[in-house]
Amino acid sequence: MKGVAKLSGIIGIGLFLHTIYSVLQHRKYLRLTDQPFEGVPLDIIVECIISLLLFSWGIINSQNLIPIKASTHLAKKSYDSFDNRPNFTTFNNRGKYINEIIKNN
Amino acid sequence: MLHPQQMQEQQQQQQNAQNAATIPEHYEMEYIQRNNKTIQLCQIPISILGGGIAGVIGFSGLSGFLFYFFVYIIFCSLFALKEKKNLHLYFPNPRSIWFDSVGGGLMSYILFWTFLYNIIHIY
Repeated sequence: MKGVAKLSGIIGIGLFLHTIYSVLQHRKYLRLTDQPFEGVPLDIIVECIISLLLFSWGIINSQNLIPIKASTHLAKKSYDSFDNRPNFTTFNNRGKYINEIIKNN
Repeated sequence: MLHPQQMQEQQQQQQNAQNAATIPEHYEMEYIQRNNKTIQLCQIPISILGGGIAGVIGFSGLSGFLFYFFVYIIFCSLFALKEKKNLHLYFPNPRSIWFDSVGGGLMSYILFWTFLYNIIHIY
């Protein structure tokens, strides 16, 4: 789904660049044939709207939203992860001396 | 006729039921903000492209601003179409996506509108 969305976004940008090029070409043609400019042709406008729709569909579908209710996130956590308090861990215990005794024996 | 103690119990039960009905769902502010940021991240590129299109077609004056609202409505309706019935999962007030960030992409829209209008129709 995300790959399709990205592809449609890229196609939208490509169509948009193509419309820029075709409008520039149209204006150049009008200038060379000495005709007055009376708005952009309809097919270019349709192409613009299609490119906008494709691009926005792609952008919107490539993003993920997160559920905001706290219960949906808390339901996945285990009780041990709540009970874990790293601040209360003590490193000064008897393990050092016991280890020495075990080694000597 | 009920015993006074039974009456009291009944009252307490009613009160508990009322409290259970009025306890609001707890929302996480962090995720609300992240969802709003996601909407903004979607809106800005779309309004940039909309501005480019307005410049290509050659809108000037009020019609350009009307086109901005057209782009915004396209954005909102596509967003609502994507999350048909799940919007209440992601936003505390689902209807707010239709009018919450109307001016969010206006500045980038105007920038690209004037930019492409100048490139194509003036030079």
